[in-house]
Amino acid sequence: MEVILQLLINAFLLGGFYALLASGFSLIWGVLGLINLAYGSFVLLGAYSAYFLHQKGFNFWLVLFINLFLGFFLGLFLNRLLFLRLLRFEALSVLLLTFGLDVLISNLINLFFKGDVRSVSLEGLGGSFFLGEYILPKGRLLVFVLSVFFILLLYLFLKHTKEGRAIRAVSMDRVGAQLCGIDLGRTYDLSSALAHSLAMFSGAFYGLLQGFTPFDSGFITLKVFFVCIAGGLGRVEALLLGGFALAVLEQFSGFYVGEGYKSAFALLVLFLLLAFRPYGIFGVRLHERA
Amino acid sequence: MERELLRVEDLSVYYGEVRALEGISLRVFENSAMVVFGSNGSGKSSLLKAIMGLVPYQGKVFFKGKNIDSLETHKRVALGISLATDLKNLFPYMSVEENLLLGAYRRGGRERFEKVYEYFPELFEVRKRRVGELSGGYQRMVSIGRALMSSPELLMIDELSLGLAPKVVERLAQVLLEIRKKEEVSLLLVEQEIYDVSSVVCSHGYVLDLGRLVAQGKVKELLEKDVVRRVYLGIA
Ligand SMILES: Nc1ncnc2c1ncn2[C@@H]1O[C@H](COP(=O)(O)OP(=O)(O)OP(=O)(O)O)[C@@H](O)[C@H]1O
Ligand SMILES: [Mg+2]
Repeated sequence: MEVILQLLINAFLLGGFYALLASGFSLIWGVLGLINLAYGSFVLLGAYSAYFLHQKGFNFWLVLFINLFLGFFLGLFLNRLLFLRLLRFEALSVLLLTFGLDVLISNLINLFFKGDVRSVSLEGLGGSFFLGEYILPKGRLLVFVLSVFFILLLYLFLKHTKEGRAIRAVSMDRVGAQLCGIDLGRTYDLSSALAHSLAMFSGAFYGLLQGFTPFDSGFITLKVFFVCIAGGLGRVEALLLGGFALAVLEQFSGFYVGEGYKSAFALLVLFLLLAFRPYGIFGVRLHERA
Repeated sequence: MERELLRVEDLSVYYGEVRALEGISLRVFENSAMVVFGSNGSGKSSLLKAIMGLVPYQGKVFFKGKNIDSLETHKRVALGISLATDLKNLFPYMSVEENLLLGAYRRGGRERFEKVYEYFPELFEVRKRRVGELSGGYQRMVSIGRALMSSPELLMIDELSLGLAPKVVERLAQVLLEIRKKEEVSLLLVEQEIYDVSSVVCSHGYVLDLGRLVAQGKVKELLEKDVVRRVYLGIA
C-alpha cells in the first residue's frame, strides 16, 4: 500500500511537469493543425541551454527567462521559415519534414556538446521533504509547483485575454476566426512563438529531473504525443489529465516491470488509445479543423 | 443621391476546373437592402466569400470607393464588411458571450453587447451557455449577432432561412427590419427561394443562375420576368 501511494505521489509531481512539457506541442497541433515531430529537440535545446548557461555561472532563474525568450524568437522564426509553408502540405509531408528537422537539431547538438549524458543540478535541491513515510524530493517538488503555475498562467492567458481568445477561436474555426477580423498569420506567429517558448522553458526542468543526451528528442516527442492523445486536444485541463495519465503509467510500469520498459508501455497504450479512444481517455473531443 | 457602398466588377470564381461564378457585376447602395436569389449550386456562397476575401477570384471589388482586392479577410472586416455564413462558423466550445465578444475583435466593442441583446433578447438568457449545445435557430441568431458586433456598414447573410422553422425565419426578418431602422447598415442577402423572407426585407434583387446574373429588378416584379420563370419554374 505504501509503495502504491509513493508511486502515486511521484506520478502526481511528474504529471504536472508533463502537462507543461506537452503544452507547446498541443498548442501547435490545435492552432496550426501541425504535428511537429521536431518538438522534442526544442525541449532538448532548452535542456542544453540550461546546462551550458548554468555551467557558465548564470543564475537558474535567469536561465529560465533566457530560455523563454530564446524559444519565443526561435518559434517565430520557425513559423515564418517552415510552418506557414507546411500548412498547404499533406499530413505525411509535414511529418517527414519535421522529423528531418528533428534529426538535424539532434545532430547539431551532438556536434557542440558531444554524446555524453548531461544533467543540470542546482545547489540546495538535492534533498527531500518527508510526509510521514513518504518522500517528496525537493527538485521534483519545485518543478511541479512551477509547472502548475505556468500552466495556470497559460490557462488565464488563453481564457481571458484578447489574443488568447483569438488563438482559441482559430483552433476551433479558422473561417469563423477570420470573419471576426482575426489575422491568421499573426495568430500562427504568436502560437508558434509561445509553443517553443514553453518547449525550451520546460527543457530546463527536464534537465533538472533527469540526465539527457542529444538523441533523446524522440522519447520526449513520444511523451508529449501521448499526453495530447490521452488527454485530448484543445483545453488546458486536458493537458493535466494527459500528463497524469502518462506519469502514472510510467511510474507503475517502471516499478513493477522495470525502468527499461517504460517507453514500451507508453507506446503500447498509445497504440491502444489511437485504435480505440482517439478522442482521449476522458473523451475530450479533438477540435475539428476548418 | 444614393451613395454606392459596394461595387463588384466582372467577378469570376473558379475551384480548379469548376466554374462557380463568371462575369458578375453588381452594386449595393448605402442604407439599402439587396438580395441575390439562386438555386442550389448557382454560386451564391461563392459570391459572398469572394467579397469577403475567403476565396480567390478574378475581377474587382470596391468598398466605399476603395479597391479591396489585395486585402485579406481580416482587413475587410476592419473596413466594415461582415458575413454570417450558412455554415455559421461559430466557436462551439465557447459561450454565447465569448462568441459575440470575438465578433468585436477588430471593430465595435463591448458596448455592442447591449444592441445585440436588444435585437435578440433570447440570447441574453443563454449568454453563459456553450454555443455547441444550442439549437440551430439560436446558433443562427448568434452568428448574426456576432456579425453585428463589429458594427458593420455592410452585413451579408448567407441563406438566413436555411433549415429553420417558418416562425423563426419570420422573427429573424422582423429583427433585420429593426436593425435597418436603427443602424446605418446595408444588407446583402442570398436566398434560394424568391418569395422568402428577403422579399419582406429587401426591395431589390438579382437572380443568379449557373454562376451568371440573369436578371435584376424589384423583388416583387422578378417572378414576372420570363428568364426568371424559366430558371425557377421551368416554364418559358
Ligand atoms: N470548395 C469547392 N471546391 C470545388 N467546387 C466547389 C467548392 N465550393 C463550391 N463549389 C462548386 O461551385 C459551385 C457554386 O457553389 P456555391 O456553394 O457558391 O453555390 P450556392 O449557390 O451557395 O449553393 P447552395 O445553395 O448549395 O448553398 C457549385 O457547383 C459547387 O459544387
Ligand atoms: Mg451556399
